[in-house]
Amino acid sequence: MADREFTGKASERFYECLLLLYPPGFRLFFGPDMAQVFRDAYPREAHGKGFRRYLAFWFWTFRDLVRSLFHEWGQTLLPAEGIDAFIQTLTDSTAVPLGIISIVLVQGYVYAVLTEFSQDVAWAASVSSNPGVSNTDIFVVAAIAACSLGMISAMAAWAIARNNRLNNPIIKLFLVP
Amino acid sequence: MQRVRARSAGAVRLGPGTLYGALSRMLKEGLIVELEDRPDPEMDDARRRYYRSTDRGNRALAAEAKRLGDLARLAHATRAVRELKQA
Repeated sequence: MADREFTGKASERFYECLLLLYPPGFRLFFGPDMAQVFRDAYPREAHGKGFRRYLAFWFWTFRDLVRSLFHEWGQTLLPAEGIDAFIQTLTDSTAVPLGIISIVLVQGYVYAVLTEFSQDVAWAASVSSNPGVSNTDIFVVAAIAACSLGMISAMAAWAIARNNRLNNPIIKLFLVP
Repeated sequence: MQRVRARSAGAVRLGPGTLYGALSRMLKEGLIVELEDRPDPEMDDARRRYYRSTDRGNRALAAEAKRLGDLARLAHATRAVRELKQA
């Protein structure tokens, strides 16, 4: 029970950290409300509902977050600069920070998943019961996942830089409602 | 969010980012306004914010409903949809 409470609090803190990625004006006005919506939704949809529900909940949360992040930053930057300037800014300024943020997020996410996972699967329970092994395992899994996400981020940045146009499918995926 | 999900039989699932992004855009475009007045304290929740659609918002809603209705009628009028209905 204490583990579940910890996981719930950790998930809430993690989501509050993710909210820092939104443009400041949007975050200051809506951030507390969004955090509250997450706090209401998490116990109802994911907490203690099994690993599949937990994973589905986070997948849906990340999808919503990424799509709305691009929309909000687009809304913030587009009116003054135009779409080309926005894409150029995105290309120039986000590749390295995105890679770093990805690594931090994935490590936190993998840790949260393993904490929840340990309640359902005997393997993970045995891993987490041995502190010497769990840290190493978590680090290895997080490193692999972070490298994968970093490569995806780099590929996305490369594709944006190469085309630098709205007809780029990656840009379309996030900017077109 | 739960009501939208229930009314669409699970087809539409609003996340906090989508919901508050839409609210932000509607506020900027003057389609809704935030209400200063709060309801009866017994029915109120201090965490809630209340919004009301403006005249412009109502006109935009009616126009969008008409546009979607016209689009649906156009789709129903196509041969492919008629054949599907008959099958």
